[in-house]
Amino acid sequence: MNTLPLILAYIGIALMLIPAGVGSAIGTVLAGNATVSAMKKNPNIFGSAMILSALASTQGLYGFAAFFLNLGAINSLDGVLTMSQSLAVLAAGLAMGVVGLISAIKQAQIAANGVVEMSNGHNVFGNTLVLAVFPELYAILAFASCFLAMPS
Amino acid sequence: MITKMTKYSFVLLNEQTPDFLNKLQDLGMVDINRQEKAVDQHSKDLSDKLFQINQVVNKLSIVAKEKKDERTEPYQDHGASLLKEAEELFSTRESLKTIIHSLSEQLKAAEPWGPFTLQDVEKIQDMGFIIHAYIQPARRFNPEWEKQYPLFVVEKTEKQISFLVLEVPGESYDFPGNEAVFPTIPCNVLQEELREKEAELQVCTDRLEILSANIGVLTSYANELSSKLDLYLAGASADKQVEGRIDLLTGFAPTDRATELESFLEKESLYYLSAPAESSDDPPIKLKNSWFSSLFEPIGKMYMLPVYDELDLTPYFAPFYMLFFGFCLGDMGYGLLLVLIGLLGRFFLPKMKGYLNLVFFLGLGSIIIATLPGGFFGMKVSEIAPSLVKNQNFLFQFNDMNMFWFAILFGLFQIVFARLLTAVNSIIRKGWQHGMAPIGWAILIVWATIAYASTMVEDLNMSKPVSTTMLVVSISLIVLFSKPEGPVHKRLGKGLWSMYDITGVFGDMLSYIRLFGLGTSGGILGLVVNTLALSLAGVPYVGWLLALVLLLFGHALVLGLSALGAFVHPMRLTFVEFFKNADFTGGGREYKPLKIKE
Repeated sequence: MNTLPLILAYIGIALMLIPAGVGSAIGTVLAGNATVSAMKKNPNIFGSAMILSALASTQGLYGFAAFFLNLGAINSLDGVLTMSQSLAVLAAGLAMGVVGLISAIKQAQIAANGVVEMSNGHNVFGNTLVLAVFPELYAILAFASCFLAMPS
Repeated sequence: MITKMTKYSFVLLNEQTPDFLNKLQDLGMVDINRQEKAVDQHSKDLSDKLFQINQVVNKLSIVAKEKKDERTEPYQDHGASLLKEAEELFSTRESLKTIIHSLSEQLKAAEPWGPFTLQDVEKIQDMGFIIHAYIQPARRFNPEWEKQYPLFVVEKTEKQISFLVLEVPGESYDFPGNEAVFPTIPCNVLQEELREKEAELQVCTDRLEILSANIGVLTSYANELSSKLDLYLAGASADKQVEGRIDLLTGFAPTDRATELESFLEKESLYYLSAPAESSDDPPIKLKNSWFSSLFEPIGKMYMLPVYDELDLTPYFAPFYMLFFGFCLGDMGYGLLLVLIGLLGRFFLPKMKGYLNLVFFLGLGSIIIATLPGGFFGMKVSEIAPSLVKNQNFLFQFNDMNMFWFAILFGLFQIVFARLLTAVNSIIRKGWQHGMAPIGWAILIVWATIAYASTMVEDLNMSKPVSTTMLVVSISLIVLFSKPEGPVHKRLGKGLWSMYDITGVFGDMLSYIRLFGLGTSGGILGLVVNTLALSLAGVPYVGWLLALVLLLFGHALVLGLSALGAFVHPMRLTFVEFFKNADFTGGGREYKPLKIKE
């Protein structure tokens, strides 16, 4: 059995999971820290601020879902992949990882700004919610690309 | 739907104004044009007082949450005195906390020296001796020191020894070791003082706990002040004429309540003008929708209200939102849970009935959409109940690829619907020419969809005449009617330029992929929870219990995360994709009649 395609495919699925998860971890910490600081000024915003802080957690989930789908697909082929299939998984993994990482951090920055403004008394929860999901679309597209690049 | 408004212009003698506004406030129907922020010192004072009340209410709410004693004592006095008392108590509580902290620190430093009297220390100092204080670990204390120096052990424990060494005047002082700070106040005095302050703090906290059960008194006081502020701002916004003797006031009231208002105005014998409100008057917006659509009004308001001459899109986005939510949640089991929460929650939280009804419908949307892929708490209906898929090949049988294309098609359907809605609305309000370009876009999108789909599904192939007609008609309508007025060359130029919007339509279409992404990832997480629970079930004796706990916690977590995404992403699709394609401008101000707040 040629192991190179399999190695490349496994690197691909690791890339789907790791950077997206790291991005979500950084993002939730970033927004969470803003929430903790904002609570000093206005403890009443915790409910809304928590929702905003949780937004950046989804990229990690997309990474995991992509990993799960592709791992299942590789296993269903008994690990016998063509070079083209494995390169597709690697490329999709790279896309998911990089886009997931950056979009989670950038999304968290919007959420953190919203939380700070909410603590200053501005009612920007709805607006922040809508604006913060803008960067997430690209993580979803990356997830969709992982789905489309799945070996079959 | 936006409630029709009538514009009223009132002409009053300056001295009539306060009395008239009071009566108008009792009536609670007219939205008088007024500033929302303080305009002078008086209104600023009222605003500041409202802010103060809000702060105290927040602090008392925290006290109410933390208190252990449930006894209540109704507050007999006015809200103003409650506010004053609560503010003083909070201030006292803060000072006491600071004092207690400082005393505790001092006590910590004084404890090694045990109790003593300050008079004894003063006597020694009066004799000319200088006191040097030391604290040494017991093992380092040299018993010979007691013979060599005038040394007095003050406090001795197993670990350390605190002692004083006297410096005799005129003699050299050479005791080895680092000096410690001798306390200025003995520890017994500090302990007594600390007890007193802690008792005072307890009294203060007890009183605050009693006050925390009377937040309603403060809320009523806030409403009273808010009504006063509203009334004052309405009076202050009057346009002064004839050297300030005449006040001109403008307001809006729903046209369907005009008879009631006008019979009141007739009795008041004042001069007023009334006319149907025009968009240029910037009338306030009061939405009036069916029971179902009104459940979705809070979602629309999170963005902005429509302007007066615009179509209220709430009834049109409501069913889409419900189904989009279901698409993103992607699981019949979770949908069923939301339906149950919506139905049963009203017995426990009757005040939240409106929101619980919304939860019910969002759950219903989840059940409806999830009947396509057939997800049920992370499992597939086709696997757990194969009999349900035997005699049909549609329900519970959509695979991931089907859902991917269904998300895009559903999105395109919403875009086409939005364009047709714009067309109908423009034809009714502005004339037939204004509705032609959106119709052209709707046809072009349908044509492009079928043309692309036919490359994958042969049955969808359009005949050449139909295809050509659709393409020519759609492009002609867009090019000729994107700017329906003005010189021909400008109309054509604008029409050609508007063709660039095709990139926007393509981007909007891709945006709907999020429906698939969220639904699939949620489904996978549910499946992972089930897999982990099954593997735990193999643990001897307690396996099933562990599996049950994991299933409950795991699915609750997945439901929470998926519901958050399912709530937010359809909002984005509504506000950005749907509203843009439906030509929504927004920016209307909410109808806020002058009325007494309760």
